Amino acid sequence: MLSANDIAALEKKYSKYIFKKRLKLFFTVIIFLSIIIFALYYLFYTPSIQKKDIDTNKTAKNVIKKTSSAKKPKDINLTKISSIVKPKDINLTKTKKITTIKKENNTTKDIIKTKKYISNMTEEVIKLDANISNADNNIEKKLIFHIKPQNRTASNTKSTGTLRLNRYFLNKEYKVKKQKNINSIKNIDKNGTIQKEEYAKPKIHIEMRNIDSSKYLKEKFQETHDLTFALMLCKNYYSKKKYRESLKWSIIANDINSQNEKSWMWFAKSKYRLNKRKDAIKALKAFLKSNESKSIRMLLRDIINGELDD
Amino acid sequence: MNNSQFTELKNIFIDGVIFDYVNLDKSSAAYEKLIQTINKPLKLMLFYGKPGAGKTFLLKKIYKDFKKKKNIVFLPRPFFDEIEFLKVLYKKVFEQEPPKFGGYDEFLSIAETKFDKNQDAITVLIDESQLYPNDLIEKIRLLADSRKFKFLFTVHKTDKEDILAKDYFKTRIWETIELEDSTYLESKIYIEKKLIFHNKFEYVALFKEKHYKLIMKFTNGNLRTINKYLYKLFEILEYYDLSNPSKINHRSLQIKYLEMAGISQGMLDA
Repeated sequence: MLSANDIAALEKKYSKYIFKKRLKLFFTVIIFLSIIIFALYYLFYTPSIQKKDIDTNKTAKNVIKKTSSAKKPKDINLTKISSIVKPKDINLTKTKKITTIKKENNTTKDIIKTKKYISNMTEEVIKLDANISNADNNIEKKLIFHIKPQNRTASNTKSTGTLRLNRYFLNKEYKVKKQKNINSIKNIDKNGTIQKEEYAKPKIHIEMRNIDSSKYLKEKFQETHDLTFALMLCKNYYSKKKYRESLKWSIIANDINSQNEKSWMWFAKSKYRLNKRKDAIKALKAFLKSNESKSIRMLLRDIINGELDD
Repeated sequence: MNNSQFTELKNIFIDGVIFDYVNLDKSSAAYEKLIQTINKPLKLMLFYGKPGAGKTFLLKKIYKDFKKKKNIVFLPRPFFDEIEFLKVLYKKVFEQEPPKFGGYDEFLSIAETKFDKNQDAITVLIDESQLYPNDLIEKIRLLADSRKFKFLFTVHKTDKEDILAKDYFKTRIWETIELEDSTYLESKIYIEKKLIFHNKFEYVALFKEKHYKLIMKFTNGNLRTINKYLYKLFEILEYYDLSNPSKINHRSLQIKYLEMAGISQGMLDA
């Protein structure tokens, strides 16, 4: 028969065996659970993120599309832009922020939640160039929309985004007219924040700033060598009383197209302002010898009479 | 000291002492094949299987069943010396003290004078043949060539050594029989029959399916290992029965004790 010592030693070995067995079982369970969790994560969570990415990208594209389609050059309705802000809150000085528009949009809820998308959105810049050639005031407009998410720590149910609109002016500041009939806009607060019914959640800030128009126009002229930009430079410098520069650009414009009466006009005006009245009269008369222009005649008359306005 | 109920159970499974031939499927098949082979006019036969598979038991049974019917000799222990082997063989075959002889030639010439002309060859069952020296195996082969003797070699088949690949068996053995380890069902029947043979019917119910599965896992169906394992199991139960009887469930075995027996036999890594 076994002795008590034999049994004690066997009991000790058995305890050790049971401990090992349980430890093995524990690690097996842990590994098994880890595999299950990983598999579930892989099967369900990752695709959902990808799906969200796709959805949010789609949403973003839709939002951008909507925004951009609303801001296409031919559709740009300055009165509309102005109508979404209160006239009294709009400061059209060159450096000041004009207005902030808050919009809430259910469809952009996931955009903010998804960091990946946020980064994409941050990089997303939509530029719309609107070259508006206005015969009366020759205003070149450039609209740049920056869509930028804001308030990333928004609540679980709401999220916001920011839309910045930079507008560049060349010569004139816009006068923004108020328009009543904007269907999508419901409320406007004192800060110029506009609540849109269908865009309930995201905040959209529209910012309008001026840039160095001369620099911009020079760059554009160098790119295109277009007469329009040369004439716009003439006007720009003339308005700034930089008559030598306006004279120079009138000559450049005339080189491009000597039959364009505006280059002759800016030449004459600049000469007149540089106290070269005779040169101005001489040039205008030379133009009228071979061309007929009512505006040139009127300008000639004003210069001769010394009645030229700014 | 008082005896426990498990003391008797333990003694049933003492290996090599209690000779119970348990009729199992594989052992029955091997038995039948061995009888057929012995009756064939073959000189050399090979019976092999893993250690503890029951080869010796079968040889013992064959010897027991046929010793009165035909000339059969059983050599259970191995021999390393030729003269010693021949002396023992002479004594068993002719049932008298052997005379002095120098080697197998003298043995053969003496033996031939004692045999009748039409006498059948004497069957010699040699256990543990793998332990015999090669020279002696060669002499045994020469004895077989005389047609006065036929030999049944019983060898262990191990994973490392394939006995059939040995030259002297490869070219001369005419018939081979293999005894495989028991299956799960055979192991179960073996334990049940062992208990029933010894009138321990009530203890058959101690073993449930889970216990047989565990025993099979520990022993791989090797009958000798089963005997050793069950001996240890009942030895452990005997201790608790006498020292801490409250720890014993008399209706069903506790897994703990089966595992303890496994640890004790080195079948479980503790």
